[in-house]
Amino acid sequence: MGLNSYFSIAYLAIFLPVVIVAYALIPRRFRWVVLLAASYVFFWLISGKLIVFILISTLTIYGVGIKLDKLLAQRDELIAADKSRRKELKAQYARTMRIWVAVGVGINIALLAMLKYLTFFSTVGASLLSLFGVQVDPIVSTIGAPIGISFYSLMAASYVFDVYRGTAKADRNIARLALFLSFFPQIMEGPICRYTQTAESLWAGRDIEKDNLYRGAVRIMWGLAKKLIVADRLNLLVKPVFADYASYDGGIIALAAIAYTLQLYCDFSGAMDVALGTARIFGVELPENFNHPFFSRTASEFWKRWHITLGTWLRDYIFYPISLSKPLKNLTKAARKTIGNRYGPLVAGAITLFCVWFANGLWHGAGSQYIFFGLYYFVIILLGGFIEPLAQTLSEKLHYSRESRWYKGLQIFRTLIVIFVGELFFRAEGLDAGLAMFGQMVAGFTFESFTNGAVLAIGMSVGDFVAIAGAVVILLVVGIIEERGTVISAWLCEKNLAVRWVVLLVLIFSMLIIGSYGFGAAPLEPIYAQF
Amino acid sequence: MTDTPQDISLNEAEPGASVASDDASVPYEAPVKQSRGKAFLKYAGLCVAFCAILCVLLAGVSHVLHPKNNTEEAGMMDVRTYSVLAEPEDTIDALFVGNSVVATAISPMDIWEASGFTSYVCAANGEKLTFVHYLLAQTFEKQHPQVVFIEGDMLFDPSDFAHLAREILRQTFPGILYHHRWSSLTLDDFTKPIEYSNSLVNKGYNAKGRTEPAPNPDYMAPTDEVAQISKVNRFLLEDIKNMCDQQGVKLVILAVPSTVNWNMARHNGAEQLAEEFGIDFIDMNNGENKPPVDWSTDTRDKGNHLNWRGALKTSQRMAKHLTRYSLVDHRGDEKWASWDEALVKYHDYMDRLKAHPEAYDAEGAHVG
Repeated sequence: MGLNSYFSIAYLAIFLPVVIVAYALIPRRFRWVVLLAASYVFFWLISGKLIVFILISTLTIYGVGIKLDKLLAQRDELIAADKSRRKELKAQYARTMRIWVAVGVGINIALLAMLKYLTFFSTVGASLLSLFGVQVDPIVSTIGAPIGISFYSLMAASYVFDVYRGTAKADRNIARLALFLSFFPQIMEGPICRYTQTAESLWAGRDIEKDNLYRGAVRIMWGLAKKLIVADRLNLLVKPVFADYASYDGGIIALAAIAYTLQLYCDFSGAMDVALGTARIFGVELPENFNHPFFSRTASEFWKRWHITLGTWLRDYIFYPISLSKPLKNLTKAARKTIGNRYGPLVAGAITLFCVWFANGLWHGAGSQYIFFGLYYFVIILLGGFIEPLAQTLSEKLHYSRESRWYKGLQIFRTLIVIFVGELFFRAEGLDAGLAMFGQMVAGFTFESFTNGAVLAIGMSVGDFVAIAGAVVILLVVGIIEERGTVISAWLCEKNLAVRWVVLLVLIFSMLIIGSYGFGAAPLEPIYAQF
Repeated sequence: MTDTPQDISLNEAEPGASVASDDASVPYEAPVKQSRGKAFLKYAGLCVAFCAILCVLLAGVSHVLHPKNNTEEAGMMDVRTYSVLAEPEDTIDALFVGNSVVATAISPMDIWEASGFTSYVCAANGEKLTFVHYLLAQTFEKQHPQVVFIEGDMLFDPSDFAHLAREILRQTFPGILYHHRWSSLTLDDFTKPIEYSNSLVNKGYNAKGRTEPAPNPDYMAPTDEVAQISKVNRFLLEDIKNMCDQQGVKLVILAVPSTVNWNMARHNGAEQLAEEFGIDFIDMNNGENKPPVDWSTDTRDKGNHLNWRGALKTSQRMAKHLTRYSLVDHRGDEKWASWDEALVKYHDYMDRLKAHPEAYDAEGAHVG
């Protein structure tokens, strides 16, 4: 049916309208059935028989959740009966519960590893063994991975952790849990939702309200415009340069790195706009995944604004558990004694950060460039931690405000360079290619290709560059307005019908006319759906 | 554009809240002020009104973006396909519609030379059945042929409803197809009407010079197998048949020689469907209508498409077949004098092609 993207005609013109109409016409108490059926049909149409893996995940977390709930109830009962054994009982039950958490999370992570990383790790393993003279053929996975496994596996794991921690109560309704895990607008590229964020509203079967319908439609069109006008158009430049980087000078490679960063942002955040817009139509608010990341002043802030739900997942389920673990606490104590209070905590922090960024890189894909990408941010953020006290001292000594406009501007500019370099490695076809491109960009930087017109021979015409420039200005203006606290779609809802329709029509026509599709276009497959 | 900037934890429920309840009754109450039926009708009405405005604007924009003539310079795609619209009214006896397989197999000028019947090939590379509906609708406004041959190869294309939706959008609002012209629009695009004045001497035929023998000349080995035709394609064929019936035009399913695109299973499938729909099926790969194609010299690309030699034989055989439809020999008739002039140019063109087969083979080169 061609449902391989939220931007496809099959999704926007057929699947979504059919689901909306069915949802609107059916009594409220059965609306969850429409959403669940639509989600499973959507999954089936894309991944076919691999749907069995999301069923396994659902059943696993359902069973483990109930088991954890029972253990918690049992423990509380025993504690209520004999309060003097409170500490002992807590420790005893914590051990058992941790085993169940390991089962629940382990099965999901094992499935993810088997379906997505088996070939990569077995190739790495075989290469390592060959260093010791042992020749082993790497295992090549032929099953393929179901759509969204990287996203729903993390959601499944978070549910188990949350039930264990008591931040969510185990759901005894398997249909609701299945809907939480498989909801079709989020299954392909996220956001990575928590059970407490969406399960209730998904189940509620809220009416399709006028404002939600409008805001959802505007959000979908905004996402489509980002994808079709910017992301797909930039493919005309990004694809050839990254495929044949040796033929281009440093200036073009720098341009391609910037172009790819913008492309990735518009592709991924565009898909999020469609996902959030779709969910809003059904009265469901999915968590935001982007918050104008290019206004970030540090790399650390960038990751609080870019792929937010992955960042918070890593923070809640990797960073905190490791940094609050006993060995790390002991290490911090020891480090404070040895190297002082300023830099002591950074030692344990570095270990935790390493784990987070290694996981971040690995999550993006089974490839050395992704792991390098994660570790690149590990080094940048760690360095930031070391430099921060120095920068603070310097500003005090030289009497300049770190909140002044020019200083903030410099910080944003510096962060942008960090981001562009990171994305260069991320997009490069392998780590070797990334390093070669970086070397070429630094050593062979020149503006020659811009002055002699060679930049126009790559694939993008003057019209394409004008369209991109216009789009960047609009993104910037919208970003500045929203940074100041105005939610544009909500603001629009307060306007009269004519204004709202005009805005929607302008978005639709911008996308239809200036969008890069059809003749001469090089459409881009959804980037994050591949992760 | 965000809905809730800064807020990454919407709908945060208290642990143990009603989320985990088995009770399907919902705590949420929507602020309903009127009955659901009325509200639905109101929303539906607004949606219809919005879509109507969108369609009107899209039609206007489409007119601006559509090339104003059927030439490559004007920006028209499928110049060859739509060139039939440049022919004088009611001058075409037979139409051949389909994809590149029929475009390279039938030469209307060879048919004219052999029989005096006028025909036109309306075909484009990779076209699907969805496209035929629109092509015929446009053509019937100007031409009333006695017979339309539809290339049966298209019946086996994997068309689906998404493709159908895409084609409907593309054809109803050609601005979607020609949107890339936004950066090269001129004043004429806003003021001039769309014209089709570029008449081609090849009459839609896409002559090919290259030769690459087919490895499987015995491709029509007997079998009881029946190739399946999708529901979408059956629906589309029925629609095309109804359209032809309304115009009083005879519809025929045609299989032109191709070792890649035809076999007995497909023959059986097309034959079965033709019987079911009450349509004639002419298979030029098999039986009495088969031209003497030599698969070592008459194909351009290993049996997929015919080259000019194969097309000449197929066209001459087709000229004989057309006598069944009581068409009139127009040779010598003043109204069709332009066809005789075109024939001279056509022979010139073919002489050049035979002399430089490779140069005249490339796609888009010398559409004639």
